Amino acid sequence: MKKQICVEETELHTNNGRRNFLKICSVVLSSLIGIAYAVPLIRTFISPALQQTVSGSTGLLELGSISNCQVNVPMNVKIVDAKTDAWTKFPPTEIGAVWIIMNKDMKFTAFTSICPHLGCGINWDENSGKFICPCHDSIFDIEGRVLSGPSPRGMDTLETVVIDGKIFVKYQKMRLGVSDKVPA
Amino acid sequence: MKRWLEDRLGISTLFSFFMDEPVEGGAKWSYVFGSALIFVFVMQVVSGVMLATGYSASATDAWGSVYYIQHKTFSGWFVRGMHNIGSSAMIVLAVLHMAQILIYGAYRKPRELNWITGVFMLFMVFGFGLTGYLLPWDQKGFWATQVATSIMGLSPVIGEFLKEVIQGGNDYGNLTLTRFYSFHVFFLPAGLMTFMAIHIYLFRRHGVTPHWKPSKLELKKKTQPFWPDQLFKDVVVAVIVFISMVMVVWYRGGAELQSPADPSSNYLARPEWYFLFLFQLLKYFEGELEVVGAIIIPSIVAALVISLPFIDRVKSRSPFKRLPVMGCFGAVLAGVIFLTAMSVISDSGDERIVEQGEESEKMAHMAVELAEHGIPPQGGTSVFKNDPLYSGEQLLRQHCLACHNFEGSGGNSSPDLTAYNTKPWLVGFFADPNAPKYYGKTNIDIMPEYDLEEEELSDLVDFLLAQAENGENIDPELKETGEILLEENGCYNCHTFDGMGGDTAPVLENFASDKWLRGLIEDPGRKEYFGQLNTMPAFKDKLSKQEIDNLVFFLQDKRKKQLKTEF
Repeated sequence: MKKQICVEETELHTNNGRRNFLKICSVVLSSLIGIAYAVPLIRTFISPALQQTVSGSTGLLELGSISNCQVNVPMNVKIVDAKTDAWTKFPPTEIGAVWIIMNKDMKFTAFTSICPHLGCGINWDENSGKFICPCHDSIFDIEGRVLSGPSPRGMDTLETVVIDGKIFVKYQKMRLGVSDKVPA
Repeated sequence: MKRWLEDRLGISTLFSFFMDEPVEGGAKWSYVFGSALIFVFVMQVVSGVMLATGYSASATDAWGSVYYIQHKTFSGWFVRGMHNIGSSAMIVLAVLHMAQILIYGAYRKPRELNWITGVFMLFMVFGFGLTGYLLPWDQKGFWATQVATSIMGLSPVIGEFLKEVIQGGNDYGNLTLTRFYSFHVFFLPAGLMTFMAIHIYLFRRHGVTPHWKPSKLELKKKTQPFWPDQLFKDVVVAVIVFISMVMVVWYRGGAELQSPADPSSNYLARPEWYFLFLFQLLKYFEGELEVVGAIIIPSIVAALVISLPFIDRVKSRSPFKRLPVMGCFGAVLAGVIFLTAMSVISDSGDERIVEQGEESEKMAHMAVELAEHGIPPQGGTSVFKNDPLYSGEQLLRQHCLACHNFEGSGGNSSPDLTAYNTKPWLVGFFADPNAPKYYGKTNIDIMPEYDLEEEELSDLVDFLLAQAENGENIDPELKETGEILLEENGCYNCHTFDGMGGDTAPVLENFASDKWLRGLIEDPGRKEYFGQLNTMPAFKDKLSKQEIDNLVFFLQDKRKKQLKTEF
């Protein structure tokens, strides 16, 4: 009697051993497939967060020939840039404007036309020789310094380069309403 | 805690309900195909959902979005490749599953509905393949799917209506894609999952169909639980299927993406491999009979397959006692394989087709390269506008041929631009600048005819054309000869070279260079070009800088190619 139980138990035991082995193998193998497949799937899914998907062209934008400039007469030039949205590249469109001033040493200054106060477009007033923001009457001199009005800082200058008689600018939008010039 | 959760969720009960199914006669390798199909289907769902996060179902954006998935998204090529090869895996496994069912006679009473739901699922799998093929909106999908929808239009009475419902109107376009996308990701998955649920329910109700030999008692004794005995085998097969799929994807670099669908091209439409037999079948039925090959024969075969459980009423389940069924199955399979092989052989033997295949490979490669610069908002084939050569030619045809002639087409009131600024063009020009082919029909009439010695003329033209390539470092000997010729022939009276000479005719400095040509197109009325005699419009405000560059690139490319043929 005792012997018989023993045999039965061993049989059961070995059978369970085999089944447990199969269970472990099944779980391990299917987990491996799961992981192997999950990695590329997750990479694909998070891909947009790790890449630049929507962008304007980086670097310098051409403003035109320097021959158009007169000394100390601010000239308004539209900034034209192309936008890329994932696979689509949109043709160049106007994304903003700058004021270009050439001083008598042929040095160029570029101001964004956006008022640092609240983002209105600044005009050049030929009669007074000053920049005037039409929204809240901030007034700037030709070098962009605040003369009067609510603007927290002077007009924002942009980096310019002259290459082969053409002016290029690094167009950037700045944070509004603060006294320091920081990129937005 | 475990107890609490179990009371509320009943996971273990659910688990044992699904997993403790007794497999009569024990686990068998021959039962793995159904599970393998479920495995691949789940993979397809997951990869499909991932692809859907990047896909845009519109005729303008589809190709671009697939391009983006394929070439810009991390692992996107792999996920797309797996999804693509998954459809082939489904077909292969479905056929193996069917073969196993046929051999074991598992379609017979009381499992008729198992069989019928299974056959419908096979059709749905074909539907997935067909709808998915179109989604990238590339040449391959676009043209091959046209064939399929046209066949649909052949069906009697409702054909035309059915076709327009499926393709979303009278022609291929945005609605075709939105519909095919919807079929592919909503209708078909919903249908397949429903049928799969019924199929599995029926399978559980009737159990496996064991081998025909062992007796009932013997089978009972050998019964094993599904988990883990059978499931282990299923998992092993899943691993094999997965690894094979990964290997194919790796080897082929993912799924191919042909160039964007171009309705004006004459692309050679070929469906996915598992449709080739249907495609080949069409070749044997001409004209009025087309409907026989396209619809009648496939419908009859489908009807026979569906009604198989009612046709086969032989008592024994042994395949050797059901030879007619086995024979028919063998014959259909052989027929399909034969037709597929015929299609492949006839294509690979046809030089025209092989050539067109290579050509489309080239186009596909080019499209992908050009898409690197971004795809214009018009989408699709407009990607070729990024190619300066393609765009340059288009611009030339659009803006210049009202006056100029080019390779036999266009106006003739201005100089011919065929082989413009090549040696033969210039030689002809010096012989008779006022011929209609040159400046004869313009206001420019001050260039005298020159009757130069052949050698002198050749030197002069070589000297002028040398300006185009390397203005600064011309061979000094050639430069000297050239300057002497300019002097002797009085060119300096009107033309400027090296800062000397008159200004009533175009400058010869950097003549025919990119810069010279660009300046000419931008503003030909400038003093450096034709000045007051000019009648050509200035293009600097009509075309963008890029467009003028492309135009120049095209003309210069033509010139350089001519140069190559001279040597």
